[in-house]
Amino acid sequence: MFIGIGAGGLMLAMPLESGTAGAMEAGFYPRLVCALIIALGCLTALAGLLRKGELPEAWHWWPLLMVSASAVVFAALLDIAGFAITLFAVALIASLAGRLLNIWRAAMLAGVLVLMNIALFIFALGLPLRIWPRI
Amino acid sequence: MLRRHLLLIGGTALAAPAVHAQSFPGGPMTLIVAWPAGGGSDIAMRLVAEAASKQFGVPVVVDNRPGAAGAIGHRAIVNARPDGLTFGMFSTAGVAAPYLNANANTIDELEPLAFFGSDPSAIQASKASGITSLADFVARARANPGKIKNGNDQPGGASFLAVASYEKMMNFRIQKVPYAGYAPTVTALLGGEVDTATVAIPDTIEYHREGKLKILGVSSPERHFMAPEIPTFKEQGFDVDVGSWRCIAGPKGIPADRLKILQDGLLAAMRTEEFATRARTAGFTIQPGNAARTLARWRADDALLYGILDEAGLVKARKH
Amino acid sequence: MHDLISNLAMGFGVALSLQNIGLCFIGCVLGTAIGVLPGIGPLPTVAMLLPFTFALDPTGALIMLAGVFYGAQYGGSTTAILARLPGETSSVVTCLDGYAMALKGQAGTALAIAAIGSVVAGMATTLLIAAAGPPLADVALLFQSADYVSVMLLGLVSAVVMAHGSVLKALLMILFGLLLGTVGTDVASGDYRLTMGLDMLADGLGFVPISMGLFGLAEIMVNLESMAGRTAIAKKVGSLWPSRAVLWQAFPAMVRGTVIGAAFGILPGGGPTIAAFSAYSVEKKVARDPSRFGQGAVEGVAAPEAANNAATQSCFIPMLCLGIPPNALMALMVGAMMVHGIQPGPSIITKQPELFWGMIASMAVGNVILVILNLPLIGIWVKLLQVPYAFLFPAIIVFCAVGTYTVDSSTGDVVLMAIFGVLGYVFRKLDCEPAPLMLGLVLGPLLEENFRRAMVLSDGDAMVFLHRPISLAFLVAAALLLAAVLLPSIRRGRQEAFRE
Repeated sequence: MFIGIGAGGLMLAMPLESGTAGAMEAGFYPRLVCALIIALGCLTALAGLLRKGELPEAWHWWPLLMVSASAVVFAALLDIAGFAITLFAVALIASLAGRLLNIWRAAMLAGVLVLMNIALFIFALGLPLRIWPRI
Repeated sequence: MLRRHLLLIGGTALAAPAVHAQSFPGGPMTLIVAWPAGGGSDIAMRLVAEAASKQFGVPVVVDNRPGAAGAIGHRAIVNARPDGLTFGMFSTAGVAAPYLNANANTIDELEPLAFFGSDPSAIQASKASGITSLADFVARARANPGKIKNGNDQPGGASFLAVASYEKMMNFRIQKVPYAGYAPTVTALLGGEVDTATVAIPDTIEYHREGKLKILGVSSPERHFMAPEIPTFKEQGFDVDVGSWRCIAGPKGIPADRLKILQDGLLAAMRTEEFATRARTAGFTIQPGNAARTLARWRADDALLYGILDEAGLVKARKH
Repeated sequence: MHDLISNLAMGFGVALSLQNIGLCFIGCVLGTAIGVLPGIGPLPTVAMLLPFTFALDPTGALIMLAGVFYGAQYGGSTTAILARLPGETSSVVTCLDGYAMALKGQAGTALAIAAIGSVVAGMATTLLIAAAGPPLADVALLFQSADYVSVMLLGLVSAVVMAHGSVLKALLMILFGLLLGTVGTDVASGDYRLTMGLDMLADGLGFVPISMGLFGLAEIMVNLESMAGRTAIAKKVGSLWPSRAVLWQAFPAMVRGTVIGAAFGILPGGGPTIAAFSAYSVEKKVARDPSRFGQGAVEGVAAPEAANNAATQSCFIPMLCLGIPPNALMALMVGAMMVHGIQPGPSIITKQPELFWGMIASMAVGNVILVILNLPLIGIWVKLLQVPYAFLFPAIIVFCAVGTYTVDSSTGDVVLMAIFGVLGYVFRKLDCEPAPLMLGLVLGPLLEENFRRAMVLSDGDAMVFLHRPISLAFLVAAALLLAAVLLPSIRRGRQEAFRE
């Protein structure tokens, strides 16, 4: 299972063509670190293979997807839709991640959160955020 | 950016005795600073914002957009709506930036508004180095090229550009050791890790007076107001004027009538007695100048710094 | 001795003036209030409140800023314990056992221990600064680039000790952190590395989006899988006050943490971070039953909190005695002094005795105010945990997003947070701890910068690390520590191999 990170290290090492290793140029240190990661990654992978079998616990894709989606939605919407609408969407998507609330209660929660955040960040802390979209 | 509103409060209060300004503003103004809150440039621009707020009769809000050696903040100025309400600080490092970073904006993309001032550079020697004067330093540096170790910031930074300019203008070569900012550089100089450093006068004058290091000279036409005992380079026989300056710039395309009001207003704001006193207390050398002077300085330094960076093999973009 | 008492008397005369107590109090309140918002640590809080102090006299300004600093620092620990949201690097360690305690229904105890640990450490360090500030400040000057390299290595090794899973995985996580730390501008050459052409990455990966993602969001994702466990905790809150037995258990840890914190705080750069990580590792090594760590060991909260706070205080030493700011936060303080026309330098003590001693006395005052302020608040924080999770977690997500955004007003940082949230979830599934990664991320750039500078200064002679006594001492310590960790696990590995 750790080959993943080993490969990740390798992948990240790819753009490191810049810099010459010998004379302590910019690329030297990242390459060193990458080499170590790959070495250790292989070692771990090997150890994992030897021990064999113990699969990681089941993965739950829904919360993973929804929680990260809510953050991405925040980033995507903020500049277009303004603070209020963005936060409402984020809170709604986030509550869906839990599947604990029906849509009405989730919407209510989102509304309350929007008001709270507007009060806190815009009025109390005075962040220069636009509440409503620019028309 | 968290701080914008705090100054807004200050700005509004200060804006009460609103005066003149031929009807242009019509809304709060934004002064973009491409450096983090609390740093030298931030403090300098907060003083400008305060003075400008009185001048224009509207709040002037400082917006810190730090990152990528100023490139992020400078882009925000270039891309701002050219209505004259948004402008920002531009400085020496910004002239050098486009040659180091292909993404950085060039001086041709900005409209000069007013000149703030130039903090003269200086050379300090550690106690352990035994260097007694500027002439002594230059003689040693010429005799043993690359042996004297000088603490400065990263390639492209103000302190790096200063020492590189000295090397070129005074014809010597030393080892440039990069530190992340002035504080670690001064620490290294006090501890004797490096022989010399190129840091600003206000950051080192107290150590000089305590005898913990020696300021060899200041490279400006006149002595520094905070350190009248330190001779200039010129007095010691080296006609060199090197400093890192700050100015105000805006996006291209501001309508001519607004541009005029903005340029004149900023200059007038920086010429007030109160502004001068506050800036000097905080250690800034101010030399308010108009847009033409600003542009001339940009052009001169563009040529100078390109030459220096090119010789050092540091030009990574826009090679002539 | 007599001097010390009369100086302290003068200091308290300044610090206890009605105005200055008031400023210190306002600072602590504002700092705590803003510091508990996820993602907003001490640095942005102080930066945000800095302009307020321009109108004050310099002493008052510094006292208020210091209050903000302590307050925000403490607020950061609060979120670390309650929601596994470390607002700054040094509270990453507090997360480990603090949050584990909260899960066990001991959030109140954890918060109280953190508060008590902070005040014990703060008081002790304040005395230390008053008695021996200037000579200690000179110690900082003895450290050169090569020595810092060795200190950083020791810090990284300590992260291996604190990991309770596989040593190999901990090493991998540190290396991954080091790799992430190389993103951004290279100080030595000014080159942009691994930035994929994005200016957003030119200054490296921010601490806040990564820690919010790896710790905060990942925690929520995991919790949502097993809702049953989480609702159960919310119901049993447990006693708010630590019992005498718990205090007795935590006290030696606090003392050790204070010593470690005070020592590392003087060093520039990663001071408080290395202090907190080392203090935790020491506790784990000293403890009779190290397996309790990570499961809510009270020493695991007491020691790093004490170390953290001791280091926060002792990083004032180089700033006040030499005028040299050891970190970005102290640089803000120097900025505040320069606005008032006070030049940084060793002459502050002689030229501005009121400021120097008033500042020191105000540290003591600030610590007391903080405890008075925070102990009653614990009840409120714990109540917050009783809010049903279905309502709580969307709120945390929203606050994380807004908090991360506000640090640099960058939506890119929020996306980064999401990416690291997913990564954090994967790490949890693979049983990899994110704390060593955070340490690698924070110390990596410092390690590389100092390493390359040391090589330049020694003209490429790698022996410099062994020739300098300070460096050698830290290297030996690091090697011993590493051996202490590796030997048992290698032996164990062999036994397992034999069994097969």
